[in-house]
Amino acid sequence: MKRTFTAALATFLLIFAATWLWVAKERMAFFDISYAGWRAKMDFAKTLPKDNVVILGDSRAVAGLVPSVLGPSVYNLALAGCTSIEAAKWAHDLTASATPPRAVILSFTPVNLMATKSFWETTAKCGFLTRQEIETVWERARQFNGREYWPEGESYARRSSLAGPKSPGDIEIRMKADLYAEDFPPCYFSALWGGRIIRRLNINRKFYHETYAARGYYPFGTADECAEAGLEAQTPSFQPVKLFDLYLRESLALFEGSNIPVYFVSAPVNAATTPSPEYTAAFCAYIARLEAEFHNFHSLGTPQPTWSAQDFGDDFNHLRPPSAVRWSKEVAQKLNEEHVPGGPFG
Amino acid sequence: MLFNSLSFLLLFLPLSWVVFYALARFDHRYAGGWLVAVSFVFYSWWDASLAVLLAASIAFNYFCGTRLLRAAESDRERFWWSLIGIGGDLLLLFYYKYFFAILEWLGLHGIVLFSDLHPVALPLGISFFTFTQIGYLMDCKDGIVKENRFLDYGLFVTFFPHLIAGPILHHREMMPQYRNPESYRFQSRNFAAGAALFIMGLAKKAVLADFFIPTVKATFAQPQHLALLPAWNGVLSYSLQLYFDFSGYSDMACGLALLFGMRFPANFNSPYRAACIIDFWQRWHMSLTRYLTLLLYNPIALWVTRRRVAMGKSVSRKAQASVGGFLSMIALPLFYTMILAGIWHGAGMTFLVFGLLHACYLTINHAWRGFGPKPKPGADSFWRQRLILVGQIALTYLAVLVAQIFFRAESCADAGKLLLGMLGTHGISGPLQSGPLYVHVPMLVGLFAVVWTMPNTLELLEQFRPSLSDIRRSSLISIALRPTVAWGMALGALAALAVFSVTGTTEFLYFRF
Repeated sequence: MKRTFTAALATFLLIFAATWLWVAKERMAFFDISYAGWRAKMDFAKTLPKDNVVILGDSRAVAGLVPSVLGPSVYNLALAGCTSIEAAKWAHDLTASATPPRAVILSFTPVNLMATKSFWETTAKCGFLTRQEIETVWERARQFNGREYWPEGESYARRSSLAGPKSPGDIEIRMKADLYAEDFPPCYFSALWGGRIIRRLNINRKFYHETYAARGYYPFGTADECAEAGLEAQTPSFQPVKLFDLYLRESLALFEGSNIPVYFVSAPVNAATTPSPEYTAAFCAYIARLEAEFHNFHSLGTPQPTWSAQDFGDDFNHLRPPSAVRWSKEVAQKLNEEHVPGGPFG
Repeated sequence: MLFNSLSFLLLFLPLSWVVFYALARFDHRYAGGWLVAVSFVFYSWWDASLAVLLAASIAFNYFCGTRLLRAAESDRERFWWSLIGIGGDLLLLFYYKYFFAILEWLGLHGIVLFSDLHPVALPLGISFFTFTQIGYLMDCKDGIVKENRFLDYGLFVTFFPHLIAGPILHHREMMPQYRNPESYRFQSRNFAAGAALFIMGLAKKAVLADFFIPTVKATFAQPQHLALLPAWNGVLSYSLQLYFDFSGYSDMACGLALLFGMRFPANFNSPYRAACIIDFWQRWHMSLTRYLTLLLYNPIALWVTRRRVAMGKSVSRKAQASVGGFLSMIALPLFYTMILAGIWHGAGMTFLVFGLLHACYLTINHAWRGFGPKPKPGADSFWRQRLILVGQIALTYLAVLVAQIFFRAESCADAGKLLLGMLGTHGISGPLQSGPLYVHVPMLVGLFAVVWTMPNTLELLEQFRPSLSDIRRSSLISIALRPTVAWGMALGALAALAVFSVTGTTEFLYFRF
């Protein structure tokens, strides 16, 4: 019996330890491709040259703003599925770095300031926010009494994943965050299974190098056109959740403290997604309040201009590469008109 | 709390196990008290108010049980206390499971008008702990229970491995174990068998049952226009999901009990290998079948028999073989029992149809036994006998499969459409609702081969006596788990695989009952 126990325990520990090591060292081998994108940005952000200009934002900024079109000193640090929480993390890192940016181009889809479905597991899995930073997010979320930052009807698990542990049952969430921080293999099993342990290594490495070379730009969606309505079409008005508003303000304050101007640009959407006048007015009013509050913050152009369906490659209103070049050129022109530091652009 | 959650595996189980055996070294009652305490934590993990409900239910039933024991000499008093106790339990169950569903139905048909109806959430495991306690009160009434100590009773109801989804325990098989100090002494054989059962159960749930979730969800979400192949694919996937989910849960419950030195009755014994529907119910959710037989079927069968005797009618076997006798003494109690068993699963027409279908199957099965041709021993060759057995198993499984569609479907109309799809009325082939064909089809074929030919977990661990029940062996292939290095390595690898896959934690299907 003792030998059976020993054999069972030894086998278990051996498999577990080997997998743990693999997860900690070779995440590129099995993770989905977005990890390679995140990883590339996290890596080149450590060695940004002097007088750089960075782009922060979400996936529409990732797929829409092309650094090679905008200028040689422009770097796209926008992250797919990210919120103002991750932007604030960038703000902390960038303002503390030896080569802080001359200017920041900020581009968030307004609806992503209203709700999220992706925080915090993506960011924890990719190792972007530390365990302590996630805990801080939870603490701040709790200050708002939990009801301000998730959409009506959102599941309990989703709500508590953002708000953090609130009852003894939520120990599970706290534990999960701890285990992510330690690269605990069960947290990565679905990715390990999906990526067949090693099958994604080559494709991820290739994507990593391409993203690195493109200074953070990569396209989403391969459709020739998309006329599907995005989330905005179903959202009657704009009201940011307090937690995201807090982090956005924190980012702007940090940049202001370091004399770094921030320019807000809004990504185009297709006709079916064009938001209601109430929504646009509420969003414009929000941006105007931020402009009044932060002297370094400026808005460029109209919010969410309408472009044709042929400009979009998927249901999430991600621009196709030719259209991304077009939008980048427009943004470059506006930046030049404003004499944004770090130029000329385009 | 879920058996397959990280908090259970990494915190709750190790802590409760270590402290249990540490306390047992001083006094087994401390260890028993500890188990009650951790079981309350287990139960109220998501909602602390659930602990109040459970505690109130235990206190109420214990009080009624005590009064019944004290009233041993008075039939009248025993009648009233059993009525209060069982009535109270049924009212509680009715309130949480059926009251709002009935109100909703009445509102839907314009019989009652509501401005705002707020249904209460169904407390986890309420059916299971209520049924356990009703059984206890019945035995108190019949004089089977002789003594009741509060701690033992509390442990009998709350012991966490069975609390949320069974097996439904009988006090006669558990109380002697709880009272015996030997049960609280660490034994390596129990630990080995318990750990092996738990690991195998966890793997069944986390690796096999959950594999089918996307296919099953897609199938039952839109069953309207499924062609023959996708419909069969979805329904067979559900059948396997239910099998591995419930047998995985049952293994984990029995394994956990063994880790704490206790043995549960078996709850699952390769039901898809049943050669008739009577056999199926002796293998599927065995503790529920036993409970229904004892507390529903037998009383009504007895009532019918007494009534026939009072009317001067015969109750002999010969009388049962007449159409009238069969209908009143066999079919009536069967329909009564199975309809209640159906709606025990939930307040919905689909569950009622599920119960009715099984009542019909069982009645036909009994009728075949009574009125059908009797096989002559030795008349058939070995191969003919095998062929007949395969046919019986296939027919039984097909009948079970049809009932399972109603068990899972959102409505009877959806179930009907899915059945039509399985008959090919929407064409033969269409896109499968699952992942790549080269993964899904071999998985289905391989798992059915395992289900029909390989020994189940209780058979594998037979020499460790993992449950209180004697298991009828029925596997084609004979393998037994032995304390060897090879088996140790296999279990270690399985444990790693099972633990890796727990983070996508999903609830057990039987939790909602």
